[in-house]
Amino acid sequence: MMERQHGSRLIDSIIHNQFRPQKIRTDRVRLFFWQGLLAVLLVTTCAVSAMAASIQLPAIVEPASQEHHIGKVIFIELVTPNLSAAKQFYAGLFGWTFRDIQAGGIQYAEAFLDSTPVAGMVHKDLPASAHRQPAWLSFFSVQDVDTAKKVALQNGAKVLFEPHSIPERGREAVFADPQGAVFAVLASSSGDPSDVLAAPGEWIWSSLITSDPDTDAAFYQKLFDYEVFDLPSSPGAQHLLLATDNFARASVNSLPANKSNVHPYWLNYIRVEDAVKMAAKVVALGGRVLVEPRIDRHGGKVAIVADPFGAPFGLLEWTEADSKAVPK
Amino acid sequence: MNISFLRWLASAFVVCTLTILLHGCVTGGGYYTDEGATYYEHYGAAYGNWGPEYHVAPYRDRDHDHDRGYHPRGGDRLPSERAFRSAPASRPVPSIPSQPRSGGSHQSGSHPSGSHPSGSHSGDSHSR
Repeated sequence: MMERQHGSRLIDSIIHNQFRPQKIRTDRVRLFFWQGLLAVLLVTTCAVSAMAASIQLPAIVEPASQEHHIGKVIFIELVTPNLSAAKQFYAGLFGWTFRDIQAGGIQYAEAFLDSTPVAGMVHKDLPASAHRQPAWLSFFSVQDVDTAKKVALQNGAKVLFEPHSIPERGREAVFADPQGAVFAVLASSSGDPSDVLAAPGEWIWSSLITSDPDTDAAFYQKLFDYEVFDLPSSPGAQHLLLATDNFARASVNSLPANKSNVHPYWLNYIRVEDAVKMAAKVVALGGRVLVEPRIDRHGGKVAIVADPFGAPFGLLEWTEADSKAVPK
Repeated sequence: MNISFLRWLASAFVVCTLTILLHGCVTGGGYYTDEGATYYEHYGAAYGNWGPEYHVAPYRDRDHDHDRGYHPRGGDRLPSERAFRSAPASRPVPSIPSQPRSGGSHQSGSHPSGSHPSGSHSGDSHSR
């Protein structure tokens, strides 16, 4: 009996000593696997968080306002293949200053005139084969981006980028109207900029140049509840004015008769005091003049220019006298 | 490996996964992604070839024709044939805001005493 018990303990001891290192190794492998998996997840989580933080773009109104002006162009953003050169150009032309926001592979610059935010600029590579050109994108104020999407789709628009939220900035989406002109809508988290006269160097006006002003005006009227004024224009052309809140917001113009097959587009104008002088400055800074300064309505001049990378914008002459009410 | 350690690992796994999914939902889409190149405008837009009466700018206050009322041009179409609802003929054509940023309450640039057909006042905040 004693011998049997002794033999059993001996066997247990042998088994225990034989298999214990193998069990320890298995446990260690499992532990390393779980630790490795956790490490990968933590790194991924940090990377995703960092990328998300990179698109926490600034609010468009600081301090936040309680104003909302549906249908007003409240923000304008440039997509450019060369952000640093674009900054140099616009700084030289209008005296804009910039605050760089760079993280997670995205290069973004917020442009200011004095302390007022005037624009955003984002870098994107532009493949030569893309057959596209840089542009300033107009953001129209809406109360609800998802409702705007629904109305836009019901009336012949296409969604280029689905509604998405950006912390601090709000919710936005990018559409192409029924004729193909690209525009964006934004429900700003910080409210809309006040209805004040733009200072020289700030955006003052927007116009849609399109193949079918009539249909496009109806589209934007449904989307933004505009009043539409049919104004005198050159023979065969239409010139419509869109208004909300008792303010003119934008114009809709026919494409020139011999250019009716080209792509419609939105064009934004910056207020200048001397269009001729500023057009010359554009050229000196490496840009181009697309439409030479010309007399527009009531004697004021406009010019269409492009920055060194081809992004077009307008120069609209507007003096204090243009806004000053003359006693009758 | 004890059970509590396994539970801790499982919890960490769930938290990390949810964090990734949440960020994906918040920031997904948008032209800040690699799809941004598709935003670039179509090449070949036409500029110029504008005739002498081709106007794009808003009305200016120094010309007060628009204070005397709006006379719809109509073009070749009758009002009923237009796709949009035209503003009534009695409406003055509005201009852009005239109040400087540093000023007080803002007002209409074109017709300070003008009335808005919808009843909202000039420059009022407007929500839809």
